[in-house]
Amino acid sequence: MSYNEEMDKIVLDKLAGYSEEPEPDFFRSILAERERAAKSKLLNRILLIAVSIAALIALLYLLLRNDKPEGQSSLLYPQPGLTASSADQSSEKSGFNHVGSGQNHNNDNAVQLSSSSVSPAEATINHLPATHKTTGAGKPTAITQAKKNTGNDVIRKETEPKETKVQSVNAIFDYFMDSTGKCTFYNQSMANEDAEYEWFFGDGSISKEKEPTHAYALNGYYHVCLTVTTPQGTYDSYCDDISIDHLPNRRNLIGKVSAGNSVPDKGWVYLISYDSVSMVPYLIDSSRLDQSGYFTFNQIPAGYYLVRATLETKSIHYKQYMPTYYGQSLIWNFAKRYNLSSFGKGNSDLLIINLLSTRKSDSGDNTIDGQTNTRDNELNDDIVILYDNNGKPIGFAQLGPDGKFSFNDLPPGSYQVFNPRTGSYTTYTTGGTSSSTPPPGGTTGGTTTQTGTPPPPPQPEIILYPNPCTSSDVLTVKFNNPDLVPYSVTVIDQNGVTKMTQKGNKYLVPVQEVQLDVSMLPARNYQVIVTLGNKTLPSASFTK
Amino acid sequence: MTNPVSIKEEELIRQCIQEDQKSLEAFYRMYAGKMMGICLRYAKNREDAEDILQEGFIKVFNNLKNFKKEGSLEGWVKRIMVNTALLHYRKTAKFENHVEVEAADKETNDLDILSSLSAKELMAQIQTLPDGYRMVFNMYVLEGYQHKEIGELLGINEGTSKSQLARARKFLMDIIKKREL
Repeated sequence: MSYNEEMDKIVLDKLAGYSEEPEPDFFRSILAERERAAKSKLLNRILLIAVSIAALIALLYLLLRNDKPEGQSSLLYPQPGLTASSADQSSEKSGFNHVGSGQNHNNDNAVQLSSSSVSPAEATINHLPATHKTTGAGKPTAITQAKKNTGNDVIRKETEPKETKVQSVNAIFDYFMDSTGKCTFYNQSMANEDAEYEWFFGDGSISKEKEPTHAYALNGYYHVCLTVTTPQGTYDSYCDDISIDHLPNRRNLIGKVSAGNSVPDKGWVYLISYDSVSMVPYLIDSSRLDQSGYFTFNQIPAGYYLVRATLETKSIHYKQYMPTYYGQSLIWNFAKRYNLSSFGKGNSDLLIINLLSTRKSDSGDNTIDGQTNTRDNELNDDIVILYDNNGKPIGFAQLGPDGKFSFNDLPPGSYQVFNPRTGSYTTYTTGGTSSSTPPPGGTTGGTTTQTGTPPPPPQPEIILYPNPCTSSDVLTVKFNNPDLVPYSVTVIDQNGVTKMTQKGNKYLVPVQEVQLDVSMLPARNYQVIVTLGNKTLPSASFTK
Repeated sequence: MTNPVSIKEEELIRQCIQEDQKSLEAFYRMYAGKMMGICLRYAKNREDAEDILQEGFIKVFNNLKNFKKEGSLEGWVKRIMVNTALLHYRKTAKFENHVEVEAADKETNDLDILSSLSAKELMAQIQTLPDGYRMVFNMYVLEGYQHKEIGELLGINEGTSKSQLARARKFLMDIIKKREL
């Protein structure tokens, strides 16, 4: 190790985990400062509104002044030396500049305003909030902005001087989003009581209430617009973008079931989840197969599921095809965020299920029956888990009062039954004909049972992706945790310095996926060490 | 269920978003010490560190609703603190370009002196480093950034970052040796 490296290591060891408590009342000062900052933000907002109102009053005043019939040289028509442009109503800045004629002395072609007694106070430059997209009136006032070729002075005139009374209206709202996606909108618009409101929530729904609440079901960005309309037809709109990303990720699961080469008729697909701690399975939803063998589950929260497809006894295929389970591929923890523009496209997972052909007639018994004597009578939720030959969990069975369990309708093959309470595996085979190497001590025909020596559990290994982890901030570490023991995942660099550790003992599943935020790690090679209980798996390395 | 953010943390975040005073305080207590440690490293003195910590926590509280639960919460809070600290000193820091640094007398003895310092003493020495040195030193040695990344974050080039680091090391060893005398 070089001098510098050694120096770095000493400093790192001393200071990496350095912690020092701030002053005891520091938290209060944070809150106070935060409140102060929020208040000043609010004040700015109020100021903005006040300026808008002042501008509107000025506009009104001008309108009334122009009501006087004397010398109305309509400036709708461009004057010599002027470029007239009709005010861009969709312009973000819907204000106007007005300069009294007294100031137009430096140009030969100075336009004279007929009513020249405009006080300097009216020469206000008005900036409405940038979010105000549209401002308009029922009867267009046809505001004309005339800009002189040579100067910056801008002259503005209205052609509708007879407008009796323009009711000022200014749309604005605030909102509060709670943790469930329910959003309460606070209408802070300036308008008379008889004004009408229209809300567009950005997800296709609307409301005419003054202060509505709206529940958003999905994460995403929503462009929410409020339009306030007076009985006179004056209106104003205000829009705000609301971003929601704290709702549980939900996705649609659609899929197709096939039975050999044919489409199965009359079947069901069950979506099964289980409590991550007690491992008790429960049915989330079921979907009946349609005529083409399709099933759909809508808006399923991210999580780990089993999907089981079965046929009804009425199905013509019933006797030929056995149910199929799908396991760990359905982890949706990090489902993509919903983007409204791609709504309805990228928010579904597709699952194809091929029911297994069972050859029931020549395969003997397809049932695993067993009994454990470990059942805790205090608990009603003891279960055993069924693994297929590849170490994939494919089912659960609840233990009966006597500790008995049963798995039915299994295709021929070899299975392992795992008892979480004892941590032991028991191997069973079904359908005697397919078993080329009969297990020692197995009985002939029907269910063969091998107890005592547990077979090797699914081979533990660590899978890291993406690797190299260049474009992603998150490294996924996947490993088998067949014994469901607490684990820890540690990342060390080439010098053996621990960079991060993550421990878990709550969500124990046979196939564990751990996401690590590696964004703070510099681009180097690292080793990942996974410890299961007191056992350490062979380490894996990745490059960032 | 394989979320790096635990249910407990998630619940805490949720409560904080709803401005629950107790949860905000619990959140603060969880990270105050560690984050103060980070701020102290980047700061000239305790007052500056507290300023950064305060600003950082306000940012954290205001942005909790935007926290994507994809990485660890602590990593996220830490990143905000480091960024706040960098913003704090980026304007005042001077980054001299590419001046050859005379190599420090690399005696292993010096490292023993360094080792003998307590964390608090070492922290005090680091705080005496000029702003530019301190930022690069912290980012390289303690946050593990590479020169290229440091260059991008501070708006300087890679070479400057390297020379800043070399100067920082020499500076630090010099004051530590001086202190020992």
